[in-house]
Parts: sequence; structure tokens; C-alpha cells
Amino acid sequence: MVMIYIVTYIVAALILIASALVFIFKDVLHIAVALSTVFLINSVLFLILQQPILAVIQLFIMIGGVSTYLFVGVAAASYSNFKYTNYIALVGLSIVIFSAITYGAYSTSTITQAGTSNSINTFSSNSIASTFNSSYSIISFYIIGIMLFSIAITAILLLNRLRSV
Amino acid sequence: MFGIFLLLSFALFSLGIAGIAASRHFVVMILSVEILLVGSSLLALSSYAYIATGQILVLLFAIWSIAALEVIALVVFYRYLAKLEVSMNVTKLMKYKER
Repeated sequence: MVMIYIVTYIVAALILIASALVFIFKDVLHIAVALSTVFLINSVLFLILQQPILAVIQLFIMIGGVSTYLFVGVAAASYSNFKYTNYIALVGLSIVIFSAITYGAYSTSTITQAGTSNSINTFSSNSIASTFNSSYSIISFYIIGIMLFSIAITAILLLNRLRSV
Repeated sequence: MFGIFLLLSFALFSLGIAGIAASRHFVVMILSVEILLVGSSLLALSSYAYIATGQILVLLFAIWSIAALEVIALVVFYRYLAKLEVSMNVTKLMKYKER
């Protein structure tokens, strides 16, 4: 059992390194190799989850996609002579988005397997669901929904008008 | 054990989103979406293996279909760009609006 944990941690570190190499490499050929490594390690994770058929299907489908990316990337090599990845923005945005997603899910029953630690943060899904007890909060969410819907309609109208200018 | 897979899929998802936002190369942006789809398929399968019940195959095939559609979109976009002989820089595509 401990062995599975160790293997899972190693494979998780490898898939994170391989997916970071997609943005670090300069050549499209190397990028495609790194992406195919990501797919291969993802299939290993599927094997750890005891789904061998899905691992093989996923590997076959994704390798077809990677080969197409390889052809297009090599063919477009003459059009790729510019610095295309902002590494500071990449690292910063990754940390911010990961923190935002993880903070909302942390202390829920899916991660802690206990489900009783709602008081750790106020943005967990259990804590947000517990605020829906009164009818006033439901009404406020209706109003927010109507506002967002009208904003979406207005954005579509503005885009249509900008296109005609 | 499920927490490891959950955090790993969150990390892959955030790396994919940040890759879309921080990159200007069209091929690298599409590859970022592929990393994002890897994270989502990993989350789907791990939740199926540990907490959820039901059919997972439909969801996985939907994710793989989106990945295959991206390949087709990339080929169509490259065909368009190669016809115009322009760069793969998406921020420079605005000046080719009227062509």
C-alpha cells in the first residue's frame, strides 16, 4: 500500500515536470515530445487507478493528436520566430489559479475525508451551501442571475455594434 | 489517495489555463488546452474510481472528442495562416482583419 503511494507521488511529479517542459522548450518538436510524455504518464495514472482499457484508449487517441501537432508545428517553424511565452505570467497565474481552486475545495469531505471541518475556511463548498438556508439569499441570487444575464445580452449587442463600425 | 489525484488535476488545470493566458503562439495555446483536458480526464477517472458511481465512459469520450476537435481546428487554422503567410503570433492577427 505504501508502495502505491510512493509510485503515485513520483508519477505526479513527473507529469507536472513534463507539462512544465511544454512551456519551457523552444522547439516545437521538443514540445510535442514533452506533450506525448504527459499523455504517457497520464496513462500510467490511469493504470494506477486500475483502468487499463481506458489507459490504452487514451494513449492511442492522444498520440494521434500529438502526431498532427508535430506535423503542423514543424511546418509552421518558419512562422514561429518570436518569444511566445511570458514565464513570469505563467508561473504567477498558475499559482493564483491553483490556490483559488484548491482553497475552495479544501476542507470539504472530498479532500479531508471527514467533512466536519467547515470552520477552516468560509469559501468551501459546504460553507457556501450552508448559506442557502434563508429565502432572502435565494432572492439575492436571482437578482444577481438577472444582472449577469442582462450583462451578457448587452455584451453581445455591443460586439455586434462594434463589428458593424 | 483521492486527494493526491484531485490536487494533481487542479495543478494540471491551472497550468493549462495559465499557459493559454501567458502564451502568444497559437500551437502552444492549443497544447495548453490539451494539458487542461488531461487534468479534467484525470479528475473524472479518479472521482469515478474513489467516490462516484455510474458511467464514466461517456464523459471521457466527450473529453477526447473535444481534444480531437482541437486538432481539426488547428489544421484548419494553419491552412488559413499558411495561405496568408503570416506569423503564428495571435496578437498580430488583427492587422490581417480586412484581407
